[in-house]
Amino acid sequence: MNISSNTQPIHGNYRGYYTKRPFVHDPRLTLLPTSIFKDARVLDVGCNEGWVTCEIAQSWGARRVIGVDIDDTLVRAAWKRRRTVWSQQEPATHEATPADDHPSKGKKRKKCSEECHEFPRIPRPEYFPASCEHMFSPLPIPAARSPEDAHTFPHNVMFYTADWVNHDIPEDANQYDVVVAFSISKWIHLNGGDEGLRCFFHRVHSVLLPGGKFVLEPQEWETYAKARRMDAKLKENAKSLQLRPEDFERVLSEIGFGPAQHVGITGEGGFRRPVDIYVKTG
Amino acid sequence: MFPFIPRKVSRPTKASISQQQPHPAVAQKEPAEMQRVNELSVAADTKGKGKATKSDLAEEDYAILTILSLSEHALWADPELRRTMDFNAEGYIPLSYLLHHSPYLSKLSPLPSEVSLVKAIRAHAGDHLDVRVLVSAPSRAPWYGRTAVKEDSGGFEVRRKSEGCPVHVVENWSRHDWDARTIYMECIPPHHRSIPGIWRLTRTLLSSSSPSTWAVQVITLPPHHQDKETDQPKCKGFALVTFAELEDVTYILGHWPWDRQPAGQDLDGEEAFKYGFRTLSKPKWQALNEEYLSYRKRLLEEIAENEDEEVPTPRETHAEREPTPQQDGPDTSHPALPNVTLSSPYPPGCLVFVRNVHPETNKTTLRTLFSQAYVLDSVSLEAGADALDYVDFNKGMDTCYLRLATPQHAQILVDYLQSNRKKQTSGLDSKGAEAPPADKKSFAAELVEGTREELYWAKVPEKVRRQAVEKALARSSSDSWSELPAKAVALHGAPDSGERKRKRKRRKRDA
Repeated sequence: MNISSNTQPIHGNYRGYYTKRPFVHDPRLTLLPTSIFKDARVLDVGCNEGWVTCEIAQSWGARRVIGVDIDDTLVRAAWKRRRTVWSQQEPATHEATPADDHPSKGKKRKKCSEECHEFPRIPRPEYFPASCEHMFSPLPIPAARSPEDAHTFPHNVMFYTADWVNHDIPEDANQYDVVVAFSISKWIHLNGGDEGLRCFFHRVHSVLLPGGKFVLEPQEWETYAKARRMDAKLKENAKSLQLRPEDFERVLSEIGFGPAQHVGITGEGGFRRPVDIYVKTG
Repeated sequence: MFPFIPRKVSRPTKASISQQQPHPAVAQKEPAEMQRVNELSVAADTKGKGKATKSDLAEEDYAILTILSLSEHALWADPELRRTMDFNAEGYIPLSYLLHHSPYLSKLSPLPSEVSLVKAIRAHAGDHLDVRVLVSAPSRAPWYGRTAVKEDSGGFEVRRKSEGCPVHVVENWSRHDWDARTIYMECIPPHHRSIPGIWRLTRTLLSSSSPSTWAVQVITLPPHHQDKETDQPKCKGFALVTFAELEDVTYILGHWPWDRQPAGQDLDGEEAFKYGFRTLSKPKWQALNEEYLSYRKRLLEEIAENEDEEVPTPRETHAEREPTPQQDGPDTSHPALPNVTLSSPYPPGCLVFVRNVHPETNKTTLRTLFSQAYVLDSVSLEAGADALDYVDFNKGMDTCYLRLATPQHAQILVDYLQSNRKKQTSGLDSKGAEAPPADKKSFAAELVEGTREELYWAKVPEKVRRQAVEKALARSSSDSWSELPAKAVALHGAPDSGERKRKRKRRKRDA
């Protein structure tokens, strides 16, 4: 879907979402168990410019991460983000012990690598200054040379433009171990009504492998008010909404998920939201 | 005539150029001049004590840029500035000089007027800068005449208030002395992403609660690799900042290390912490730059070596399940043409590389020449119109890239050049002469694929890439293909016609 940039972000498709927010590591990810994405096929619904998608692909041991967003401009920016993240990543050929005057002395491993000892040394994500890509152009991405390579960043992440609630993407056929839905439920709910939301939950269920996990960060009902004022259609849809975020757990249970595992609340002010994990049972 | 009081000249490493002696004699202003300046600076005086308005901030920005323009480093780096100051007995510098020569002011667009600078200085830097109406005629200054200065009369001049012979102190400094005081910083919070913003932010992060005006000496924004000389670089969240004092450098590097420390360290700069602000000494930054460049070179070489063993990158083959490395056997049937979608970063299969073009030719000639691939019996094929999207050629080269509208067009061109051996006899030869089969000078064309293709398009501006994708999408329907007369298809070959030998050349790429 080609969405022009001078319309309102009625799908939550904000431009510059991440550049205007503090982002070192996504705080929502830090709430999750470190092994949740290990060797997993992951779908990130509403990936925006792919910052979270790339973080999962780079630092959480995921086998394959697919980011999907309804807005093509954001998807293109996500490909760029992948390139930027790659351009800052430490060369894989580095020796284990850096020299004394090496700029980054402390080998601060990412959370995942501390527990996944069987992994080879994971290259540090923000090794090169951000200015390098800017001054010298991005680093080229060589082809993956082995199956292992293919499941490592940057080869293990890709992006699609699609209205995923209503349309398949080719990758769905392979199914997923984890589906991530951060800050997206409000927009699906407002745009598609209760029916649209249920459809989304059904879709998530169908693309998850048995025992697969649905990581949901739902926006709270109070935040719908401002969003629905954005657009006449949203305003209209909002009137007929009967489901509330408190009902999500019940609806998901009816579809075939276990009870919610509340892993915590993060964010500040209007962005404080719970993050819940649902396991596909039925 | 006010003599400068020389400050103690100390060793550069211990130099405290920010410790200024107050100027013993302040210039006495003429009543008339005061009135004029007052009239002009009325707005500044009525500034309230409440929240700074946007125009207040903009005004403060001008003051900051003026301060930076008169730092010890500015004087060290620009001998002409120093001479201009020396030429004036009281050390004043015409504002017009700064507006046209200062790296901080001269590239502003629109260029601020002298009046607005005066207002800004009086409102925000009055304690550190003297500003008055021009007393001496600029035409007598040594620099005059080399730059076009509009206002000969009615201009202003400015000087640093507290002197102390900064020139003498830093005169014999080397670039190394300044580099030792320079740090690289990144993840600058969004609201501070400008030179004045960085100046403000940096000062809040210093240990002293009231740092010297001259604590920050230089702020540089690294240019983009596609920037032209005249472009004003944009702040993308990082910058190089030079300090007067080594202690300040050590302090900042210690509190904002490259490997980020967990919270709890410093409550100052909470915002900076949130955004992941971190710093690095300039020498270490330079070392990483070099490492980046040599790594980049290695990657390019690796890609060139592996050209024969290209793994289709996942986004190009949507139908693929798990990506495993594949080796195409020799002489396998021609693979299906790549699909382009709206999310393609570039149109795949539309790039052709041609060697042995005449170095003195030009894009127009090449366009005419290669468009012949779409002519049948001297009749231009309708589907061939606009086949050539762009001729990427630079004079002096004997190669060029051609961007075609669709993969089908790319195939036709390659097949055409392979079956019709031609060469260019001169720079203006737009027809091409027949060349014998073994002629090394005949055009050699090949489809650019895989990572080589990706690399090429990566250098193309995004907007142009988008247009190419959209164009390919619009024309990729099979309908446009069937517009070609059957004869043309037979002559040039349909896109999926069986066994086209894949060229497997090893080519050394220039990094």
